[in-house]
Amino acid sequence: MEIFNANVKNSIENEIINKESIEREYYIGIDLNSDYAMVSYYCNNMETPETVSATYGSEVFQIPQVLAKKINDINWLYGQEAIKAAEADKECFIANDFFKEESIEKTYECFDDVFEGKDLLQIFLSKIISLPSKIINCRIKPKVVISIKRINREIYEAFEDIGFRLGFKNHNFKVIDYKESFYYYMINQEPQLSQNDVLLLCANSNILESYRLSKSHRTTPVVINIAYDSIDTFKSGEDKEFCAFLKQILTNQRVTSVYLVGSGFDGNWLLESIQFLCKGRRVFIGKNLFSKGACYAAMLKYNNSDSEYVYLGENDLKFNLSIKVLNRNQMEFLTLVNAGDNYFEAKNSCEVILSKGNTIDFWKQLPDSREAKIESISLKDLPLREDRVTRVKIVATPISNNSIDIYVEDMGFGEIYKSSNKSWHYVMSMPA
Amino acid sequence: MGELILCTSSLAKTPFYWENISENVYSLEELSYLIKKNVFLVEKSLTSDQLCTWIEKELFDKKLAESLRNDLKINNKVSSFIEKLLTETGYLSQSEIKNTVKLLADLETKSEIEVGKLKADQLLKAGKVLRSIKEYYKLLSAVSKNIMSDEVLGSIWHNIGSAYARLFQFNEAINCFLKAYSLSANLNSLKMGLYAAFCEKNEKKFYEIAEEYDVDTVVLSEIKKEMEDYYLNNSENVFFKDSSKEKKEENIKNFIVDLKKDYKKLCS
Repeated sequence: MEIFNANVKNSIENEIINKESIEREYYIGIDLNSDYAMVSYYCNNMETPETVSATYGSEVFQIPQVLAKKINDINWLYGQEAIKAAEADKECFIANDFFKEESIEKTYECFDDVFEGKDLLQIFLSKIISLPSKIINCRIKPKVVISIKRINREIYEAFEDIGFRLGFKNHNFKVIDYKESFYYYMINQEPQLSQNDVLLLCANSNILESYRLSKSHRTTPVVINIAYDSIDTFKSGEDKEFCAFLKQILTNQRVTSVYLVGSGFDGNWLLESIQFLCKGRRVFIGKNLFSKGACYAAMLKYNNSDSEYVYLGENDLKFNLSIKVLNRNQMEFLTLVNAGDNYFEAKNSCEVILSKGNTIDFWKQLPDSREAKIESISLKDLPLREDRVTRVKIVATPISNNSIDIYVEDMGFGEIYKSSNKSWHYVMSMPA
Repeated sequence: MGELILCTSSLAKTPFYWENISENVYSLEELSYLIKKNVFLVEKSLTSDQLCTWIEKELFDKKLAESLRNDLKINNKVSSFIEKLLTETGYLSQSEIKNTVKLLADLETKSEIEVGKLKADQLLKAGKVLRSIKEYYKLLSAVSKNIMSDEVLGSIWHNIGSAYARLFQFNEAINCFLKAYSLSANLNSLKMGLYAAFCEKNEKKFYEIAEEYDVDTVVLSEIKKEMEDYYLNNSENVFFKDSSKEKKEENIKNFIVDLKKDYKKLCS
């Protein structure tokens, strides 16, 4: 059995590894759930991301999701410090549920002030984001990716707002889900570990969640799929029952590696189960897979690095949408939105001149298909004008992972032909 | 099947004013369109550092601006500058760019008089009537410096006559047409003079010209019939299509406003 976090050795209290400031690359990945956060980081003199631990030499990475504030003190305390302060001072304000079940709607009265859950989350994140820089003495602002279990539009927009309020530029502060984090983690491991499927089991309390990663080699880049399941019959400590479950899901299945993540696997109870798992597979146990995955995601996303793999998550667009244009007299496809783009973020626009008619053809293509479906939009009631004197703006805004809102606006042609102020709306979907 | 031309330039907040054609331009696509339509009005005043600065500051295309400035330094030719501009913009087709640039290159080899006439003709065609009259008179004042054939002189006077006619200044138009006829003996100029007299509803003048220039009665009758038919076919107008008095009055008002706008454009 292997421990994938064996190299962690940093402590925020005692050691400064590198007094020279790191100027060029600095990435942070955060695993954030209802109970705790974990912070991994990478800068350009490191081999792999490392994870912040609360005390020197330990593998305790979890920072309790707790904030506290003493009366007449402007400073916020977080994590273990906050817990200790609240225990010592009964009048201390304490909050530990501002990100419960990915909901930040609650409000809190802190002495004379009122805070929303989003405000407290912002304070907590600002504290933990600053942790790695105390170790590596880095002056530049990091690029941050936060990994949470599930994302919806409300959560996405809340994090976007928090990023903005923390002074992060657009796209330097992103949020992904656990599946995507798992994907980024795996594509940065040795290829042999994912020769066949990879299974990730995440156990906290009595909840077991499984993520199964598989590859489809039919296309280039290779498409990665991740199937999710949750098992409510799991009980931490019940080795025999867990082993039976593993036999059920793994017998006659081609799984190369298994990752066991979460506090549900703490303690030395995994005896029969580990014996079974290690037969013909590599097995890893630890806690910081998602925070490392988020850190890898930061490294790849912000460098726009090409990968031989592509993953289409729940929040990722399922198809490419393009138009055929003449660009300086060369015919080419202009992609408005790409499959794989996060649909909350992806939005694109362009301006074109209409020629030989009032229709616009949109090309819809699945990433693993060579064929494209064409959907035409006719701009009804566009004023009659000579050819090539109508400039239109096309805005493509995804509204779900398989539908895109198309907005077209007549801009006229300067003072030669004034705009009619007409606009058109269509929704394009990709049928299954 | 329709085509889409990708706009390579953004829209400017502050337009570029092309003085020769009195147009505000907000994008390179518009500029390309106007260059093609008004190729004889493209001169050094357009291909200037001022245009390059507008491209840099308003369209945020520093690369194109620098490239055009370099062209001005190296070639300093209108055709070369315009070729670069049109190619980079990509609004006109390859053949349209080629033809436009060829025309401009040809103009660079023509005399001042030839270029001046082409410019004035294009102004008249583009509806910049007053400016075309100025340009034609400029040409005529250059006659003493250059020798022009009676044919060319005649065509200039004929065009001035057409310009005055478009401004409803029929008396001036008549004089110009008759002058043109006396120089070039082009029957068309004489006919235009008669049409102008008819438009002025000056029957006396109409018959005076006919007598002075010995116009055939058959030709006279043809002209009269043509004009009468024209008035008959175009006398039904929008005013009477609506039944209500208020609507008719509104239509008349709007018609007059439109006529005034059109006349102002002719004089711009």
